[in-house]
Amino acid sequence: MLYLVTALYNEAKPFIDHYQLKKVPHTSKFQVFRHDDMVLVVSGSGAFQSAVATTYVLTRFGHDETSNILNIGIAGAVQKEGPYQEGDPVLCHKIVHHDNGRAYYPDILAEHRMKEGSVETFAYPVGEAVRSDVSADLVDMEGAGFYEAASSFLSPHQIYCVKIVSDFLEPSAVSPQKVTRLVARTLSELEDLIEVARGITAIHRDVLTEEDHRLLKQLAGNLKLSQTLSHQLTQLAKQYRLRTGKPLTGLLDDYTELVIESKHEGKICFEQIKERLLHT
Amino acid sequence: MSKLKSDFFIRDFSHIYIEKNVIDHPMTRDILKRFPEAVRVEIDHYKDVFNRSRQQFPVQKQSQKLILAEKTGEKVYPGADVSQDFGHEHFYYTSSILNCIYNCSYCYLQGMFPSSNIVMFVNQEDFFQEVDALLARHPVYLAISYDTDLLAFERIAPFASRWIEFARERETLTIELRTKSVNYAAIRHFQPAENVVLAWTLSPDEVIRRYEPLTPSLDMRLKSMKQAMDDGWRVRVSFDPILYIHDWQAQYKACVARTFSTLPADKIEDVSIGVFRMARDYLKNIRRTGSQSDLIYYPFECRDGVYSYPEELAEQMIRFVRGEVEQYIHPENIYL
Repeated sequence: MLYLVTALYNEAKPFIDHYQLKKVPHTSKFQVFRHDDMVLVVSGSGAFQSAVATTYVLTRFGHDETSNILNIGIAGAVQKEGPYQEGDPVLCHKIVHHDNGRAYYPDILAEHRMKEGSVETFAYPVGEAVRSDVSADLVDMEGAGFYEAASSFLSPHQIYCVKIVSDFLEPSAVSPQKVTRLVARTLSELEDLIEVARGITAIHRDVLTEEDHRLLKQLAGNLKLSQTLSHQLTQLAKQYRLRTGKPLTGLLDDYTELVIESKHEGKICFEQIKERLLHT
Repeated sequence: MSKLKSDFFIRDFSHIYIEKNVIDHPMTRDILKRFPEAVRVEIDHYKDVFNRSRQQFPVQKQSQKLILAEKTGEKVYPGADVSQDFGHEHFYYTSSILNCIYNCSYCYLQGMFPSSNIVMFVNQEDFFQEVDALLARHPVYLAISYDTDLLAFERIAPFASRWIEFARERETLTIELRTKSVNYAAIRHFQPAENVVLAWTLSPDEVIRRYEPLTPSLDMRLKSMKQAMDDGWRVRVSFDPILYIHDWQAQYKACVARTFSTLPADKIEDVSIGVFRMARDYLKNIRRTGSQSDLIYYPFECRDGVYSYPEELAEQMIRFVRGEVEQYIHPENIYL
């Protein structure tokens, strides 16, 4: 599953249009949009809101080692003459929560073509007057809440925080239309990032397929295996899969219809299967 | 066109995380010079990055990052029970670097550390101070390359060179530098030190191909060892871990024969032999994080908290390799 978390509808709109996301009815106070394995939630402004919305979608729609989640939204850049231009998408390698000073570090494993930087999350829009309080390259109002929540479910390499530079500490100068325009202009870079993120998590998925798991569950039931032996059977199956690259079906088909009379008989069959998985 | 696996990952050391308190350390500055393109991220403490929860060791291994830090607290530890002490009473180990550039399937680091990113402790002078304090009490045998392969990093950070120079001036200190690297050239300019043992881990080519990705071939390692021996260094051979692979007897027989047809047996310091073994918790961690090596899912047996092959098989493997080695090396110089 691929999750997108935006604070504002105007940030979400380019994705809704581009990926033809449809509103999921009767969800919660959050607006949720979906198409196939992509889910977008509009959290509202603020770290707390972002954390709740992130938690909501990850629990409602599920997550595993193939999931990825992106927080996408506008941010102010601190230095006008610095490395960032208006409209730049910036992949954040450090997210600081201004209120408590905590810092978060998403893994940057993905090959990407964005600029990188740090973002500091404030509880209020940051203007010129508080420039001296900022320790990061960018300022926003959601990143730290989003990351804290997402990292309760996912690994650091599955979490991405992309901020699009909308202003230089002049938040009042950013209109809703400008937000949509800026996000829309970054779609190409974000699409590439999403493809790479999906590629990375697909490589490291479970060694066994769903079909393998079904077969092993059936065998464990047929042979009345204890929990320990069922666990050992799974390890042996992984060993076989990785060593030979072949599927389990075919090798163990003759055990799927077997009905045994006692646990003792089951253990004998387990030893036979073990031998087959180790030495075939 | 669809992307290849290698297209997904940004290059190794694309990012360097630097503790604020070592930003101006000379070793930090030297290391950073070698990576002018790397993104630098300032951090408070290395554990803020290294110890994050839910990290996936095998995924991170595809794009390792560097963390430069200061080691505080204890820096030198008593040797672990599963490690060979080579008859030394005061056996210690220390880790200037955590993690390795190689990716051996059987490596315990995958289960011991929460991350596969590489931590370099740049305050080597503090390590030296702690060793000196130990030396004031008794002689010390110190393994300096257990939780890493120090020699493989020598071009990035010259930890091994500095340990060698440190040891040279301390007669009661013996250090062991264990490696699979062929980076001997990085220390070749030194005069051999009497109290430094260079230890190479050797495996059959089939094991190297399947279970030691990114490491040099057996022939390359033997060539480096031969050069070191010719230069006058003390060289140790380690057939450890021996793995139960198809045709293992033929594989290890050939490996031992090739080793001693290349190296002069009478000049070898000693030989250590051991089968695969790993602390229970480490193996469980490796399985949990989804290792992609069949070796990890073998039905090992747990004895005294350590997973290894069934006792009878382990003994058979040791006996066999020992028998092969004894054709070249006196039994007194073989450590099990």
